[in-house]
Amino acid sequence: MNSTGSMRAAERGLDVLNLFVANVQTGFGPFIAVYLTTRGWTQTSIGLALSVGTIAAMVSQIPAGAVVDMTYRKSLVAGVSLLAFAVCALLFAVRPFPVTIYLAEILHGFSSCTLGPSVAAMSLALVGSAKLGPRLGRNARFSSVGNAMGAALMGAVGYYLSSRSVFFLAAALTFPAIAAIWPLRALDARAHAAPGHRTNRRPISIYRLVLDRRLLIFAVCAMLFTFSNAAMLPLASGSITEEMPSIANLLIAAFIMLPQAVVAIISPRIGDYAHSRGRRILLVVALAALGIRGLLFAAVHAPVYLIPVQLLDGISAACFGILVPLVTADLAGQSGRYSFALGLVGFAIGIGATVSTTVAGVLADHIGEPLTLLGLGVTALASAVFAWLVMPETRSAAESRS
Amino acid sequence: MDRFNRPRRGWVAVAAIMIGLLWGGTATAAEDQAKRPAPATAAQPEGQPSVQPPVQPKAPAAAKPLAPVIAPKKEAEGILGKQVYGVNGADMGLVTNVLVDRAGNPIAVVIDFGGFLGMGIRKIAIDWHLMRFHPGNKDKPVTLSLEKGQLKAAPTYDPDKPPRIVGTSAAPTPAKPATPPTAAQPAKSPTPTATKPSPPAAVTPPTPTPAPAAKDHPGK
Repeated sequence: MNSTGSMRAAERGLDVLNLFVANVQTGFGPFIAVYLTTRGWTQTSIGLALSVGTIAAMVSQIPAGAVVDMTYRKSLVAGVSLLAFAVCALLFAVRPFPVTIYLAEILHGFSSCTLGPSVAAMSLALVGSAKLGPRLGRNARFSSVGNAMGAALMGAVGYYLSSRSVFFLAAALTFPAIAAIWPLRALDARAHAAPGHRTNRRPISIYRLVLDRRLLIFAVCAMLFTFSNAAMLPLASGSITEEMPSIANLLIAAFIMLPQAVVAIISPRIGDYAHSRGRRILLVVALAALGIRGLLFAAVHAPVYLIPVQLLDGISAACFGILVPLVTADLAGQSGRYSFALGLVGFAIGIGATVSTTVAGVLADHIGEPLTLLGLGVTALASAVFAWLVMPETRSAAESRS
Repeated sequence: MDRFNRPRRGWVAVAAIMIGLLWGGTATAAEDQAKRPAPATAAQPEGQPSVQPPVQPKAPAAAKPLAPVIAPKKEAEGILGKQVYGVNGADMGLVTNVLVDRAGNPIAVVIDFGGFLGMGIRKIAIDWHLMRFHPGNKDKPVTLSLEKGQLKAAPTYDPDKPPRIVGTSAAPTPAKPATPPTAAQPAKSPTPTATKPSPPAAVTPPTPTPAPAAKDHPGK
């Protein structure tokens, strides 16, 4: 068996997988609310369905991580998760009735939580912990290209055909993703033989992992990042619709696409930088860029001038997207509990996102949108200082030698 | 490469089970949906006996089944979730709610306006009289004599607050219990003028009068 060839195929498979997973996930975003509205759903039941999905995704983070840790067949986990996505998308398209939609939301929430860690684990198995940074940079590049492609495709399909066809498209796009997993099966055996797998060494105890101060600090930073970040674009785009209703949809499309382009361009470099210089500085940069973006959103009112501000979103998204799997791998990659640790950080991120939209909604009602955006920005800047002072560098000594 | 055969069989089995469970489990959902009771036309205000109840043909005391009246073909149609088209066929968003007063008269339509892929949507209540309905017209069932630009700075509809409605004339809203029922109230329809150049003609300040009840019914 020629190992180099199969590894190269696996590299490419992972690229394509990231691309199409991001494609498919675009269909499960805020667009669901639009679709259910066209089906005559009331706002109350739409809110309920979306909450079911959010809660399911949050509650399953940690258990799903534990499930992924239990098997060395990460490619199987990824394949089943994608099949589940296809089922969810078809349920949305074909049976938009409450019970079905709630089920689909729960299924999608859980399978998102198994898919993410399994892709991260396959990346780790492919390149090893010493070269994970650059590989994650590449993952992020293909994901953001996939996000932009998905948004463009689904926006066009939703506009020209119907909002229902968006879900048929999402279901269809799971198949190239599943096909991309094929060359990744070889990684399962590699991960099986790798040090740290439970058949070779007992995984460390969950308590030891949970009580790792570095992991907790990072989880808090991730939570603060998402808290400041999640409500920022919805708030800003709401006021764009208010101020420039005629071209709001184009502006918002630009707001979504521009950061994706930035992520696609700079991610590999960010990954290399994390590899050669370290993670801590990137965490501080991600939070600082987010903070400045919040302040600019609060201060600048002409929507056209806000488009360049979204460049900052690209910077912080690229750093953050790479750091979550990377820092977690630094701390738990060889422990036999990598996916569990990712679930833990994912749970913190989920809390940050939920609290963010709720708190920002209430604040915007009482003190207005500019002050709310200011508050989010200041929170991010304070978190940058916190990360600078408290977060230790997690890059291993082995990596600097490689 | 022998060991990869097992996982592959596993895939198929798991997928088959999942699809089977979901499809089977939801087979009855369609029927449930169909049997859902029709929504009440107006929420009943509580503990307000002073207001005279709307005069409506009452069903005989004896519980006699009502004879169904069949609407002329295509002359009655649901509007929730329908796309609203503005002047020049502009996409004005989706109908998400209808606001009614105590007598059950429609006051305003709430639309989900703007946005891209669900991001940046705002809810705006628009005066009922600015809306035009075309039952039977598949392409444009609901139209609105406004341009997108006229919704600039329109207030966001918040179900928890007295509704602020775009396009309502400054005159008090029709359902004002305090005013005695003088026979001829001035025609309450501010004739919609499509050519109105300025942003929303008048945005009524929050009215102190009873808020029209939202015709909202939870999905379950």
